[in-house]
This record gives sequence, structure tokens and C-alpha cells, in this order.
Amino acid sequence: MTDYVIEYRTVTEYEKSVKQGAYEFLIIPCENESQMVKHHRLLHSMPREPFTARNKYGFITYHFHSNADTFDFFSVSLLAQVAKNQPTLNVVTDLSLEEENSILEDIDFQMDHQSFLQSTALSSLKPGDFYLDLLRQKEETVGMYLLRLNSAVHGMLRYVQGSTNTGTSAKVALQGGSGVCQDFAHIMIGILRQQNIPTRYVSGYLSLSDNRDSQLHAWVEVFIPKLGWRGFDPTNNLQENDHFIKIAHGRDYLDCQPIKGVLVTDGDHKTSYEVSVRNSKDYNWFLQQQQQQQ
Amino acid sequence: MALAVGDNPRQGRGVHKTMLARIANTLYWMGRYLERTEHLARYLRVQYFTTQDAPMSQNRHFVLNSIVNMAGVPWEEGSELDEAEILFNVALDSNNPMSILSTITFARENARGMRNVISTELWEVINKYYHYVNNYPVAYFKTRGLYDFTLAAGENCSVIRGYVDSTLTHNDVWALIRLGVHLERTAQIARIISCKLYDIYSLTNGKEDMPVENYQYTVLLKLLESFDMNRHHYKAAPDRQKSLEFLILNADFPRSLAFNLRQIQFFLRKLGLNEKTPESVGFKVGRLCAKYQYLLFSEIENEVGAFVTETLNCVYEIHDTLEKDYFHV
Amino acid sequence: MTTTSNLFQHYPLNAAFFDEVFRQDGQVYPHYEDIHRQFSRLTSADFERLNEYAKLSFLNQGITYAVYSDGHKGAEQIFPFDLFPRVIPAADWEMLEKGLIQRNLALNLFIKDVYGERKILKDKIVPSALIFSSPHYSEEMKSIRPKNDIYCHISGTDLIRHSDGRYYVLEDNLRSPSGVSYVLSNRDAMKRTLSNAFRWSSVCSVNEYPAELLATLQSVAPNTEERPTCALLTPGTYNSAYYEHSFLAQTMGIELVEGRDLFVENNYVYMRTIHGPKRVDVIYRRIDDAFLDPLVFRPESMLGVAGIMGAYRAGNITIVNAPGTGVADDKAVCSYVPDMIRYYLDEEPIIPNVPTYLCEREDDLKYVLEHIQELVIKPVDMSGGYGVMICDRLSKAELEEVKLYIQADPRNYIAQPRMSLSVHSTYIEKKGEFEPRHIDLRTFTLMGKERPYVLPGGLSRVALKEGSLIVNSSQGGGSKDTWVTV
Repeated sequence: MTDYVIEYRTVTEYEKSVKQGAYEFLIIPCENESQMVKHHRLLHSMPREPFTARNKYGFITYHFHSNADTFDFFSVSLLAQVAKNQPTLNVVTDLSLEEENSILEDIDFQMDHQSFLQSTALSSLKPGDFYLDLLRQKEETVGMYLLRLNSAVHGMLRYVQGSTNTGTSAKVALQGGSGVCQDFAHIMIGILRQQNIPTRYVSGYLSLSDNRDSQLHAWVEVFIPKLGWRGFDPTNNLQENDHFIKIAHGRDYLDCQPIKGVLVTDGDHKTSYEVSVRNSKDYNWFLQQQQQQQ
Repeated sequence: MALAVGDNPRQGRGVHKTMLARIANTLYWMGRYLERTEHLARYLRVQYFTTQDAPMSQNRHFVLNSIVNMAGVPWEEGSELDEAEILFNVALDSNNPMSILSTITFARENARGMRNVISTELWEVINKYYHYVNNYPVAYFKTRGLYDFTLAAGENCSVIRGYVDSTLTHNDVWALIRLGVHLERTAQIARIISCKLYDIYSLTNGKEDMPVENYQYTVLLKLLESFDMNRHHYKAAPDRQKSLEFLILNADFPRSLAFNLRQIQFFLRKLGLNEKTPESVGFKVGRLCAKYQYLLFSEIENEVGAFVTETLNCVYEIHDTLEKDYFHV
Repeated sequence: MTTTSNLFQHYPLNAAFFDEVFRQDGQVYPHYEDIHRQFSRLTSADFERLNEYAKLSFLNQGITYAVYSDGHKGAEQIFPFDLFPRVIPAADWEMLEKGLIQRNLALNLFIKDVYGERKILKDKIVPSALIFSSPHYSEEMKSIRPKNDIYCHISGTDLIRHSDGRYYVLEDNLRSPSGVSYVLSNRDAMKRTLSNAFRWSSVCSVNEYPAELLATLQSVAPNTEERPTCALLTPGTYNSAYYEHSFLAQTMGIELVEGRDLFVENNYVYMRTIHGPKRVDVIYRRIDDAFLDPLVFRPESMLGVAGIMGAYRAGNITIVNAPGTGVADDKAVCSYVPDMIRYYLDEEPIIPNVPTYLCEREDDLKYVLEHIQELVIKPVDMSGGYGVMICDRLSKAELEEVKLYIQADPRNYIAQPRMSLSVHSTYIEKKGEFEPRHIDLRTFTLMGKERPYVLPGGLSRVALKEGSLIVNSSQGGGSKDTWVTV
């Protein structure tokens, strides 16, 4: 088990003051078999406390709604301590190819997983958009295929920060040849869903070994018959391990946006954010360092 | 009143009949707009016609200047004042947001959005008034229609006020319209007094000139349709003291500041908006009313202009507090 | 009595259509005898006077609507009203009422199934592709279970009568069906105009509608000890149906609110009032799904209420109708309603559907392309009669163009045989006499309370242009009072 301390900070400055605004944050790690939130704290600049709500897939969101107070500055920071276990990596089952296929082709199965089988505008890809050998081969089990595809998608794009934006579709990213984590995830989703393999987009935090400042990360979870959901990170050609701390899943990026907002203002705004994920031990050391400096 | 509800969802089950903040604001502004068109029309008519046969240094320029000041017409300082243009601008120019046409258009739009809370009869008279103004022939207005138009505008406003009082239940809807009426009237009376004081100053250059002054105080009373009642009250010809004291402090005359401040206080209480904290609108209005109640004219005689301006500022502040605390604009 | 009076002297009979009033031999159907006799006694001048009086009544009440073309708002117009009422005999209505309740029960079960277990899709009764390609499918609703399992509380079912004299369902309106205010205003205008002419006791009253609607809203309120607070959410005064919104709010005695009047705190919805926040339990919304919650659907829209979907999911507010009901009123899905009735209720449909060809189905597409001239082509998700193509009126070149449209996007089109909408005597102002005009019937069904309610009659819409089949008010339609005899 590994203990992480996660910090997420965002600041937005508005050119003209905002009269009415509503924000929804989807940034707090979720809880499942491999991770637990030991404690968390949310600090913010708003005059009123936020409330929590659940989104359509049951993930907890924080709502800041401002009705009367005007503001021209808005900051939120989250501090969370999360215990993460090594998730199961096994992708091999004792199902025969025929058994696997008959599950995937079963209408009941498809209806129950429809949300993650339907193509979306951001993730939709047609066979002509990529090489056909990226489809599952006749003799290939789903598990083995996923390992191959994860590595193949990793090679399809160059990772270039800022080369795409949040509205870039899988197809456009592929044409451009470069992208960021969410583009890798969308491409993997696009290829898998058309083969009736349920795939969902995952947002979360990734702990990088060298403690450099992290960012929000995106990967995918794929449903393997009989085994259930398994995480794959095509950006880094990894399977989900104990460095991945999940926030939420959805059909694509739009279901997992960390911040959504609607507001009444006629001016421009400037947003910045930073994320850090540290091992608890390192974090204590880091705090001591800071105290010494002060 | 804060909008926070806290953790208890049972809160927000209050005993008050629901009055949406947006609707409240609209009703209040409807009252204000209606009252405003009446004052604009009357100022135009009285200022223009009572001074046509004026004895002394009255001239067109002076009259137009006064109208420009009062109606807030955007006019370049020192440029030639074009009579037809100014009259058109104040009355029928849809590009001037302060014109009579614009104001009644706003009032009608407000009423239109609230057909479900006001009476059909009230809606219909407002609608009729709007159509009267909107369809008034511009060419006729510029040549011969000023008197007819401004008189009809005033009469329409009186009719509408009559419908407000006689076809609405005397509940929150009614009280909000009336609150708007009296707040606007307070502001208009204060502005008219200020304008007139400025007129007099500019006519006499600050030197004493009794005939000129007294004539202007008569005009002031006529501008507020208070000449006859003033004579009845004082049983003497108006002068500075009699006209100003009457318009500022007479608690029984419906076009005095004192009277209208008390009405504002009355309607706020009727609406249940009578909090007592120092920042609250109830406190601000109460304080102003109390000041007026025990005031002698002799105490403000030497600084009437400043006093009226101060009252006007208080009224604006009351308006701002109302919007912020109750209408959530 | 035969058609000899002034007003009916040139009345043409046409065997191709079912005439609601006259048999082919010129005799009047028994349920119209009374009215026909009354009208026959009037001279043209008498009738003209009555007609003007009725028009004035609408004008004064300000019952108007705004017409849109290419997204621009046109002038406000009076919805034309015809004084000759449509009469439905009690026995016919009894059948229709049962059929409408049956249909709407099945539709509610279907919507619940689509957002829940999906049995009907798993059993392949309804093709799943049809559901998940619908723009009205709402993923949000998968995690929400509305109170009492009612999704569509207010539905507007459009019926027509074919030349065989039978009633058919033309389409369902399960989102925000409008027009009910006209039903009530039409009845008012009739009573005022022809106050002495008829024995009103023999006609079913429609005045209960607002009370029934309010009771329906209250019956689906989340659990509270208090009397529930309901509000009607309108897009605002510039909406073409604003009159109806304001009319319904007023007659139910509930608040008419805009999005900016509401806010969400701790997953409860409140109205902003001058006395502070007031909690709302049920929202009868007359804005589209896409505008309900800017945080969930369209961030650029300020018509809705940020956070309302969270409050809905938490069970603290009921939204009427539920989001996502549009998935079942898609014209292609409509053709499966008889199957739904058999599947969920194990009953035979009481009112049949107009036969429908789904261009998405290969066989159907082939038939449609081959027989296009006999068909009416409709886009699946347009309302108000927009985009409807009546093919026997099109030139050869136009037909080819239509075929191209269909082939480019078959899922988007259905085709129906050209149904011969029945005709009804209607006063034609220009000619000063009655002529037959095509009509349909929009009915209104309320679900939620223990006993469903169907407004007796509904809105008979009439195509005022000679020969026209399009009854929508935005395209030259008018309406009639509709009488259900006791």
C-alpha cells in the first residue's frame, strides 16, 4: 500500500467582476477496491461554503454557486491523502475465444454496457482512420489484444504538451500526429468501442517517480469478460498500477472535466492551476523543508 | 436579506406569500417609469407655456436650458439650442432612454411580463397609453402638438394610477408599484426644486431681484401643480419661503418631499421590509422620515439647495439598498 | 334538414374525405343536428357579427402567438378561431379516452425501461440503435428514478380521422406539448359569443384542467411534510408560448418563474423572493432539456438553473416532464408504440397508428423510394409541421431532391401514406359561408395521480387554406372548440 498526498490548486482572475457564477469541480479522488481517501480538505476564496452533489456516474462533485456576492478572483485548493493498493494486473481468463465473443455479442451485455459502447463526438473513429491490424485479430483474446493495443496507441502520437486542446477529437489528433493524455485515451476508446468492447475514459492523478510537478492525467478502463474493468494508460504504455489515483470515469473527457462553470461577466479571465502528487513520506519531508525556510 | 439558506432545507418554507424578487423589481420599476413620464410631460408643458408670456428677461434660451437640465438631454455645452429638436428629444425620441416614449415603453414592457399578476384593466390602460405616445404624429408634435400631447400624457398617468388603486388587491403587487411611484416622485420633486433654484440663480446672478424670484417660485409651484393648494394654505401670494416650505415639509400635500417619504415608509412596512439594522432600507428610510418630521424651514432656509441634494442622495441610496437586498439585481 | 340555408348553400361534398358533419347524402350526423339547425337559422350578416365578436374577444384577452421564420421573430398574431365546434359523441370519446390512457401508460413504461433495465431492447422488440441515436436520449436519466416512476406527466397525442371514419394516432408529443390554453380560451369565447344558443349542460366541461394539472404536479412532489410548492419555468416573455405559460401559472395559482429566479443550494432548489429563499418541490418546465442545467447540458444557456440536475438526482425536486422523454416521441419510435402496448400491457392497441415506414430499415427505404409520390415524408425530430414534404405536390425535380435527402440520412426520415384527414365545416370569412376544411385533434393526457386524466376533447386544429393538410398555427392553421357530448 502506498500513501499519497495530493494537492490541486487553481486560481482564476476576472478582468471584470462576476455577478453570478456556478462552478462544479470534479477533482476529488474516488473510492474503490484499490484506493481510499483517508482525509481531505478544500480551501477556497468564496464567501460561501460549497456543497457536494453526485454526477450521473455517482462521482462526488463540489458546487460553488454564487448568487448575490460579486467577485473578481476565485481560488480553490484541495489537499487529499489517499491510500492506494496495487490493483490486479491480470488480463488473462480461462474463457475460450468463442465464449468471450459470445459475451461481447450478447445483446443483454451490450445493453448493460451501452454507455461505454456508444461512440461520442470526441472519441469516434472509423476503421479507415487507423491501420486495420489495430483491430482485434481472430485468434486474439481480449486481454492479450488490450496489451498489444495499449502499446500500439502509445506509438500513434508524439506526446507534445499544448499540441491539442480539450475540444480536439480523436480523429483530429490522429491526423495531427501529436497530442496529450486525453487524446491517447480518446483514440483507444474509439478503436475499442466499435468492436463492442466497453471502454471508459478515466481522469485522475498520476504519481511521477521523480516528484516533478504533475498534471491531471487521463487513461482508460476496459471491460474484460469475466474479469471486469482493467485500467490501461496508452500515454505511457502502462497498465494501471499503484501510481494511478482515479477521480472519475465517463464516456469521454466531457464527463470528467475537472472544472465546469457558468457565469455572468462580460470581461476576460485568466486561469492557472497546479497539481502535485507526492508520496506521504516525501510530503512530510517537504513540509519540514518549507518550515525551515520560514 | 441574505440568500444563504444554510444546511436546513426546511428553511425557505416561510409564511409570506411568495413574491419573486424579479417580479418585485419589475413592479417597482413600472411604478417608477409611470411616475417619471408624468413629471417629464408636466415639466415640458409648464416650463414652456407659463414662460411664453413672462414679464422680464425670459427668453426661449433660458426655457430650453431649463428643460435640457431637467430632462437630462445630452446637449453640448454652449451649442445652439434647437427648440423643435429638444422638445422632440424629451418627448418622442426613441433613441433617448429618458424620453417620455422610452419611459412608457419600459413601463409597458414591464407590465407585459406580469400580465398574470396585474389586472386586465390595468394592463389595457397602460397599453393604450403606450399606443397613444408611440403613434403620436411627430410632425404635428413639433409644430402644434406640445400642449395637447403633454396634457394627455399627464391625464393617462392619472388614469393608470387610478386603476392601480382601484383594480388591484391592496397586497404586495400593489404596494410595490406604489413604492416605485412615491420613490420616483420624491426624486422628481427634489430634482425640480434643484433645477428651479439653479434657474433662479442664473437669472439673478445671485443678486436680489424680488419680482424675478417670486415669479419663478410661482412657476415652481405650477410645475408641481401645487399653486392653488399653496394659496389655500398660506392665504398669501407665494414667495421663496412659502413655496419651498410647502414643497419640502408639508406632510399633507401629496407632492411634497415629507409626504412622499412617509408613503415610502408606509409601503415598505406593508411589504414587511422593515428590518432595523443600520444598513437596512427600513433604517435608512426611518431616519430620513424622522428628520423631516421635526424640521423647521428656518433651519434649512440658508441651504435649501444643499438640503434637497442631500435628500436626493438619500433616496438614491434607498433605491440601491432595495435593489441589492430585496430585488437581488 | 338539408344544406339549403344561406351559410351552407354551396357546401361541397367530397367522397374522398370523411366529413365530420355531413353524410355523403347531405344529411347531418345526429350529434350535429342541434348546432346545424342553429347555424342554419342565421343569415350571413348575423354570423359575420358573431364572428367579429369572437375575434374581438381573443384580441382583448391578448391571446396571441409569435411566428418564427428563419429564426426571426415576426409580428404577434391572433390564433384564428372557428365558431363551428367539432362534436365528438360520448361513445367515440369513451373509446378514445381508454386508448389514450393505454398508450401513455405504455409510453411511460417504455421510457422507464429505456433508462432502467432495457428489457424491450434486450428482447429486440424495439431496435436499440433507434434509441441511442436519438438526440433526445438522456444519459443523465440512467441514474435518476423519478417519483412514482412517471416520466411523462403531460402528453399531447395527435389524432386524425381517416376516410374510413376511424381515428389514428399521428404522433405523440412527450416533451412540452402546448395548446391547452387555447382549448380553455376557445370554450370561453364560444360561451360568450353563443351564450344562448346551446344547452351547455350537454357538453363535457374543460374547466377542470388547471386543477387536474396542479393535482398531478403535487402528486409527484418529493416526500415532504409540507404542502408542496410548484412553479412553472418559462424561457420568458419572448417565447412564442409565453401566453400559455402565464395562463397556466395563473389558473393554477403557482409562480411563473424564469431560470434567473431559481438557484440551487445543498441540492435543494429555491426561488429568490423579496422575503428570502423559498423552496420549490415541483417544476413544470416549459424549456427544453438542453437548457435545463447549464452545468450539465449547454454552458452557454442562462435560461435554466445551474445544479438542478444534482437536486433532481438527490430526489429533492421533481421535474415535469422528466428530461429524456423525447426519446419516445421521435417519429420513428412512434411506430413501435403498438408493440410497446402489447409488450408491457399485454393488450391490443385501442387506437391504431398511422402506418409508418422507417427509412432506416432497408425494406422500408426501398418501398419509400419506389412509392415516394404517394407518401408524406417527415423528419423524425421536427415539430410544428416544419420540414414535412407532401410528395404528390412536388415536381419531378423536387422529388429527386427529396430522395437524395433521405438517402443521405435515412435515420432522420419516416414516411407515411398520405392520410386523408377528415374535413369539418368551417366558416370562410372571404366567402361568407361554410366550407369543408381538414382537421386533426390534439389531446392532452395527465399521468401521475392514481387516476389518469384526459382532457375531454382537446384542441381541434383546422387547416384554413383550401386543400391544405397542415394544421399548425405557425403555418396558417386555426382551431375550433371541441365538444364531447355527455
